[in-house]
Amino acid sequence: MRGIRRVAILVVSALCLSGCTLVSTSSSPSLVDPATVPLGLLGLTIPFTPYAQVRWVTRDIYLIAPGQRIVAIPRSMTAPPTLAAVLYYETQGPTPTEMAAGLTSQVPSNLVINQADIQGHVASIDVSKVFNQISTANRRIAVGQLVFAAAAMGATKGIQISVEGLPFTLTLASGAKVKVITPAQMAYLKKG
Amino acid sequence: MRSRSLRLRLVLIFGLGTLLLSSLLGTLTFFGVRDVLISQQQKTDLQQSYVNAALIRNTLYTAPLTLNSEVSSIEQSANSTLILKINGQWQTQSLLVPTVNISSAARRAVNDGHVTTETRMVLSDLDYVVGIPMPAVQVQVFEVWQLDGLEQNLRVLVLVIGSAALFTTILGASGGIWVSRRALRPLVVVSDAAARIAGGDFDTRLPTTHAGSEVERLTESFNTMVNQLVTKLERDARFASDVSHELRSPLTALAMSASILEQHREELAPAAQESLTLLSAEILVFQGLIEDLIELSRSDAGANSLSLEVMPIAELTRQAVRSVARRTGESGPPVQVTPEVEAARVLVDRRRFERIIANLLDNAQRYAGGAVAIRLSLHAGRVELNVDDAGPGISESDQEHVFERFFRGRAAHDRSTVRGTGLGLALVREHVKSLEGEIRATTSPEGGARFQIELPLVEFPS
Repeated sequence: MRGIRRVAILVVSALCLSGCTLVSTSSSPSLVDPATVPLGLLGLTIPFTPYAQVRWVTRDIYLIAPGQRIVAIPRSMTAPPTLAAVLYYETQGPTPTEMAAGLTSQVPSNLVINQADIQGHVASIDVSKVFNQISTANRRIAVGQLVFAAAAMGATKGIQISVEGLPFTLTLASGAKVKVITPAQMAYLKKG
Repeated sequence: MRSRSLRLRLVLIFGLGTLLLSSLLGTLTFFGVRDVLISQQQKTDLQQSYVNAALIRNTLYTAPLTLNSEVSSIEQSANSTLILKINGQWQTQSLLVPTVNISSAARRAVNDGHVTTETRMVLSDLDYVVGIPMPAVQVQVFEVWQLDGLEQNLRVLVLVIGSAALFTTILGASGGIWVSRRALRPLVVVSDAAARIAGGDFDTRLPTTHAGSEVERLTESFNTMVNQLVTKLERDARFASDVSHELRSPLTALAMSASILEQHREELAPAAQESLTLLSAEILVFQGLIEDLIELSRSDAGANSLSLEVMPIAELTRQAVRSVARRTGESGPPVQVTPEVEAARVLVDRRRFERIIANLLDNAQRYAGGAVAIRLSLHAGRVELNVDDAGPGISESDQEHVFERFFRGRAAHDRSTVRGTGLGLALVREHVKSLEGEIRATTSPEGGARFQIELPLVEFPS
């Protein structure tokens, strides 16, 4: 009788266990022997190069916080950082985590930066035609994002925008039309 | 506690044995397959993580601005989630929070330059996380692989193994039933034969089979035992019969002498008359004993011929009571018959039936001051004849043994009762059995003894 009871307990326990996790979890991570790691992943330089390395710097891009306020958000990018790289990250907009936190961007993600350089603290930026599809109100904010991003890279006197080679003139809130847009003209966007 | 049947025990042993074995095999198989599957899956995932990490490194070196699209492409093709730590910042394409997916120990180890692997349960998802540091590009890559598919496969495996164990257990139990039937068949045959012999069928023997040497030996031993038993019984019966016959002649002479002396009783001295009375009484008892012994011997030897005829049981009983009353000079007990019994008929030997009634009434007279009634009724195609008295009754322990030869029971200690031969009830049972009936002793409604005889009906009353 006792034997039958024991077998019954075993069977019931087995059935209960079958409802639990069948793959055991790790109590601590396992370390892989470095000698077995392939493709030179643990090497200090890029394979087949004597010294090539990638180093990182942090630069700000500008996104729109709740309340239509433009805020600086850091982005890591490979050194040396370029205006084109910063503007590229500007077009990438917020990460999923940042979006969850309410950050947005008026710079379209399909906007292509054809050319970007800085001369005399003024940045010249040529963009694709997608730029023209932005509504007037939103375009002002998008330009503000680009102005602050370029200023952070040294274009402290403003930016000149061209769309596929054609110069772009921005109409300010005051009604004035400008070709070089300065950070001062867009400063109100930082206040929200 | 009632002992469990041998067959049930065999079936249980077979069933539980197969359950135990199949469970053991199933468990070993499961753990073996599980380990192989997990090991292979993790090995594949680790190798793929190395390749993906190398792709990311090359992208960062050649076209860093395409990193996001490269990561998306890898995630789609590998069906995994990539979490990168670049310049101290976590980057991921999804909403995954790295601190949840990656343990702090793994993060520390990767920070220290080690490739790590770990299996984690995160938000009810089972994940395999590979962490790879890449010093050349100053990036740590953590790739999260979901093991839910593997878990699902293992659950199916458990189901299959469980079903197989259940099937083999049923198969084992069925095997147990088959084996127990085969193995116990000789025991059943022996048991049936022993029951028939106990019921008086001494011609019963076990048939010789070729079921195996053990069974053959059992059959041989059983038949030898029965032969010896029958021989002994026959010898005893013959001895009793011989002794009875040898004693009958001198006893008859003695009885005749006593009878002659009875005719001259008046001429004897008072003391001699008293002795003559005692002598005559003892001779009567002795004659009864010898007659009973001879009849039992005949019955044992099967020499008593039956003269069967179909007769109405009610009328037959009344005649038997009247006959006894005439012989003893006393009024017999009333015969109480239910209306349906009047037409009931039984197949009986009249002489034996009368002897049954005579012995039962004689027994009631000796030990209970006479029977109070003979009651007849019908039950399930059988007639029930009860000889009831109002005496002290028979204790439950004696009711089983009262039909044994020379059984005296409580009467052995009671000097006030008249001594009988001790064979009357044994003879009654033999006669009832010869009429294919049954007899048992119980308690009468008056609180005395009841001798209940059941005889099969041959004609049902309409």
